[in-house]
Amino acid sequence: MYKKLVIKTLLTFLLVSFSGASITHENIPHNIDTSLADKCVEPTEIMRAQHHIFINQQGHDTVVKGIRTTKYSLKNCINCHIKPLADGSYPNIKSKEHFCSGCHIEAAAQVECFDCHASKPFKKIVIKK
Amino acid sequence: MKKYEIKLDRRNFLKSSTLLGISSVAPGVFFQELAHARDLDKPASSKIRWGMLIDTNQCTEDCDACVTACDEEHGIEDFGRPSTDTQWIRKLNLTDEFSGKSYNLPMMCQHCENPPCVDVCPTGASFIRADGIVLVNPHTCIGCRYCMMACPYKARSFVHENLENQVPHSPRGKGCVESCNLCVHKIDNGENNTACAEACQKDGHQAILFGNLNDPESEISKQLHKYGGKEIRSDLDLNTAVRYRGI
Repeated sequence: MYKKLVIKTLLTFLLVSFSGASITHENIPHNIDTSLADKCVEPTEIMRAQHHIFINQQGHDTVVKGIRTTKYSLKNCINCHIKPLADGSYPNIKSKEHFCSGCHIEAAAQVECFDCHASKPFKKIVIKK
Repeated sequence: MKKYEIKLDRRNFLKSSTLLGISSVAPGVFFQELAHARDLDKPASSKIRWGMLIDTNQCTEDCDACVTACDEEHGIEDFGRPSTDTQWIRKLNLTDEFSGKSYNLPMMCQHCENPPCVDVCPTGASFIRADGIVLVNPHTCIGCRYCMMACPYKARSFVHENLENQVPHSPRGKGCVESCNLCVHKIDNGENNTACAEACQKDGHQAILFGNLNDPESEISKQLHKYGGKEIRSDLDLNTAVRYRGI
């Protein structure tokens, strides 16, 4: 029984350490629009660990209370972090070129924000009828 | 263009002079506070109640500017399946059986004060915001569609399809129920008008008037006071924020 527990713990540690290695991903180029701001709203380490908490809280405040500050808004994230590719199109949320998916695919953590939210900066679209 | 005919008989004169008296006596400071646009970091205030007054006499049968404007504003796409396609606002044509007179009106979420959709929601996703706007919180909505069954106005839609190209100010996705949100993003940004009302004004019909029902100085309150505004299904005692004239 103890043997099993030891193996399980070891495996968990292994997994955690590997995933930790993968989410630091310094090698992935970040295509960020630096013309809008010179740095992120929080230091990189805090953003990496807590961006989901900021975004969740902001989402609640916006929908329920009507608070529309831009600091932690998803729209603000997207405006800076998603830049058009060489051909002028915006990266698809399913591709690693998308800022969010770059890490989330690496870390195998599914991101559901963009099932509803726009994954690229606003551009007026023509409605098909 | 003359919009409304006003009969100046004794009764109406007394009514309007009383209104004028009240508005001049009431302190301006309080009303001015209501008229200001809210700061982005301040929550919606319960001092305001947003509403609409729809003049069915100005609404024409062949015009669907409000519907098109709504679709464009919120990125609502048509999938060619009318029975399940999302609709936040629709045009109705009603005919009185007795007289044969037909009425045209846009129908959308009526933003009730006592909304049945909020009563039945099992997760609290359907809620009424401080300023009277009835909304669905898509983060909490599980897509059970109880609210759709509870709504007497058939105002809500369920998203059946995977969506792409949503507009940033109006997130929408499969598996959630949604309905007219009175262009809440515009209100929060201080525009204080809706896409449908803007389109209607632009087309010259002036059938939709949007404003603050709690402010006696607002155009909508003045017109409601002057001409009245009917609630559809007033028997349900829901106290809707969308009122109709001429029905």
